[in-house]
Amino acid sequence: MRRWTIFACLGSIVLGSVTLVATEQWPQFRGPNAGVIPDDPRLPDTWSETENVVWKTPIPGMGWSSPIVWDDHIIITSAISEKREKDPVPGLYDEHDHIKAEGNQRWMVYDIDFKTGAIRWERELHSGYPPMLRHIKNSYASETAVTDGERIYVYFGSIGLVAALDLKGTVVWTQKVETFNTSTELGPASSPLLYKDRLYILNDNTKQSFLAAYDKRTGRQVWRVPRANGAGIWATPIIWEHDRRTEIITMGSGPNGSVQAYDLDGKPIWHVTGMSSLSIPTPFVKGGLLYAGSGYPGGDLRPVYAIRPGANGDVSLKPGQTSNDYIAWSQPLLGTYNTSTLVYGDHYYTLLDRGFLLCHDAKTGQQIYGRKRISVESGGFTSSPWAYNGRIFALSEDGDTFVIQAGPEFKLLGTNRLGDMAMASPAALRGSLILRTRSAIYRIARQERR
Amino acid sequence: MRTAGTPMRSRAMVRCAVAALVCTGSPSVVGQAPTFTPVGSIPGPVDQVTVQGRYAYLAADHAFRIVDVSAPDAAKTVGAYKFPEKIWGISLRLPLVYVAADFFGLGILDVSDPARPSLRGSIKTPGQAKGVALVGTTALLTDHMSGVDFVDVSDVAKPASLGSFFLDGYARDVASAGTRAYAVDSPTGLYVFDLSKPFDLSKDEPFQPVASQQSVTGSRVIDVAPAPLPSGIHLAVMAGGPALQVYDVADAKIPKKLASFPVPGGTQRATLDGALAYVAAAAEGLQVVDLSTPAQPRIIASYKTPSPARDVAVADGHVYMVMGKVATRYQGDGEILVLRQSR
Repeated sequence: MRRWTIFACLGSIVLGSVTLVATEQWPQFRGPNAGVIPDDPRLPDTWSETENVVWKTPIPGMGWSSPIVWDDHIIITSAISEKREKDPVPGLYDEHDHIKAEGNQRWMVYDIDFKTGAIRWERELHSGYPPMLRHIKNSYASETAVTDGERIYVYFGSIGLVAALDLKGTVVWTQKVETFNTSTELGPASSPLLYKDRLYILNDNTKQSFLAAYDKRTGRQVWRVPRANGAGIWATPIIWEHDRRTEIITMGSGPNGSVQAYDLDGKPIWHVTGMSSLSIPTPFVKGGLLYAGSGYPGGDLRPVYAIRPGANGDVSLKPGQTSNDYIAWSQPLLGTYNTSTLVYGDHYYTLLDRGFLLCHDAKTGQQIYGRKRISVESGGFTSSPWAYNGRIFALSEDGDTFVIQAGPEFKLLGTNRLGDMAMASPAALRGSLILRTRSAIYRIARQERR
Repeated sequence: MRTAGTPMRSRAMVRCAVAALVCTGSPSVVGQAPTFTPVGSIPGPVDQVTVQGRYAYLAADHAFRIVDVSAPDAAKTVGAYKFPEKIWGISLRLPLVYVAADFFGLGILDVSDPARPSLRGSIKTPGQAKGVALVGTTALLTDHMSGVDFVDVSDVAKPASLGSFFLDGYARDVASAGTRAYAVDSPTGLYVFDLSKPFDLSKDEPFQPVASQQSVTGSRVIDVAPAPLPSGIHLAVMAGGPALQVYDVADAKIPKKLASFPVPGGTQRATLDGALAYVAAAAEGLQVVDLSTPAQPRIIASYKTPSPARDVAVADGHVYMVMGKVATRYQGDGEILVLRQSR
């Protein structure tokens, strides 16, 4: 375990020079490198229900948390209802959205063996009736767990529960936080953030939004700061280490909502105001720039900002500006709704929820190619895209993964179908893709033809 | 509601033209402003109404209903059909009714026998079908996932997808006049499609609009006059926000915004009748806006309905006001107040 920790640390140091070493652990949402996986010929390009599936394990209940992986432990969460819940409906729509639970739920953590797919252990952390409504596509277990290799940290915003478990499934501590809903009662989804000795929880809601830090060893709350960045935020906060300082980056929603940076004690450092009314994509850092955007399709503010390090105070664009000292570039209408974006090589890829891919120069924001429809057959997209071996992968809500050539020219290379709804973002490491669908989790890897 | 149907609009145009000839040559609004007298009601539930000939075509959630309004003071339901999904939009080409029915897609009802509406054909669109309009043998549907879907309905039993054009926002509504179609998306877009030329289906997105504008606020529903006014102005109105958006779409490539006219109570829906826009204005009931000088709209009449107005249709001297809770979601309520219009 320690060997991998050292390896991961080395990897993060090398990331600054863009050279990637093999991803051996996948400790958080989108992995250690925001969805970019070092090239590995073992990683699969094609799969189906019967092709290149090392194993498939059904997962009870419903949860859209993405898998994290440490050594042989694959961790996911789920909420199991005592009654049949309404099935999620793919796509973007209105009037079908918020629903109440049909019955009591059990909030579960699962550890699945990387080698065999067997459920190593499962732990129920709470049972009862959910105190809030949710979007029909959301789940009561949408927050992705995070791990440091010794403990697993989970957050169930729907019941206000934070917990730490060891890798044997023993609960080390639990902490209750208030249960708040997001705007329009769609249910929470922002995942916990782990950095050094602290676990950070972001909860933007309609009553009192906050960012809180907990001692990861004890669960004790270290600090908590109120926020006023809107209540429509599902984005996961991230850590931005650069040569001046280390910052916690959070998203905001609405014209007055901001990309907000804090220091590690919760003190605001800088912000960029003017976000979409609903803010879901998780920001990320690549090549020295912070990429932050949001784009509710029913709104006219769908910005993307590429931000340089070192800002202080309000660095928002003034009317008519598209860049300034700290905003390297911006696009007013490039923001995505659900999917997080991807920088792979020199290119910034935007996977629009309704099935289009766009490509921009990651450093300048110049368009490489405009909206390309991935396939007339594709449904909606919520999973965030990932990349390896010169390919972009886009997993649709229908469970179809579209494989697209990376680079300045759009080209669809193939489609891999699993036939089950999918919204979680996969993990890819050690030659395997760990992909969660509505009802199962898969390990997919190139297999020798027999 | 804009789907009042071309024949009704044609009658309106005839009336306008006659008025213009007989009176002053002004496009349509001459003489006294209309006054309204309640003459009857149609029990709900109802969310939208379209009237053509002796029948009103009602939608309420999944339910489609045909009501005989030949005697508006004694309206009578004659037939009904239940869709598996919510009805968002209706377009009439009698004896066929084209229905945009949410995740069901496009449904084509045959109402030759109003007592027994029957489904002749259907096709699923990728997401929620929200509005429908017809140009020749092409049905255009606004769909949240795909934008504007183009469907060949030359064989109504087998509607066939031709392709789509993606809209940045949520595609809300579509209307047609002649060989053109006009779509709106939320929050801001107006798109004009010219279907006078054959489609090039070999292109990725062959249905490029000839014009698109991204400055239309409150563009949830659209109605377009069937033909230009004598002045040459071709009116289009958009509702769904606090103001009525008034456009001249005579030049398909350059739609001109003529006015953004705040209406008391806001604009739930609106329908054009000549140079008059009848606006369902929530708590302020019916507001009639004179657009004969389109850059300077003015309210010339109003009627305070007993409960909030959310849709309106005009036909044969009567105004049909759908009243009920005004909410972002249909509440399963509503009824129609029938007003006789006098001038």
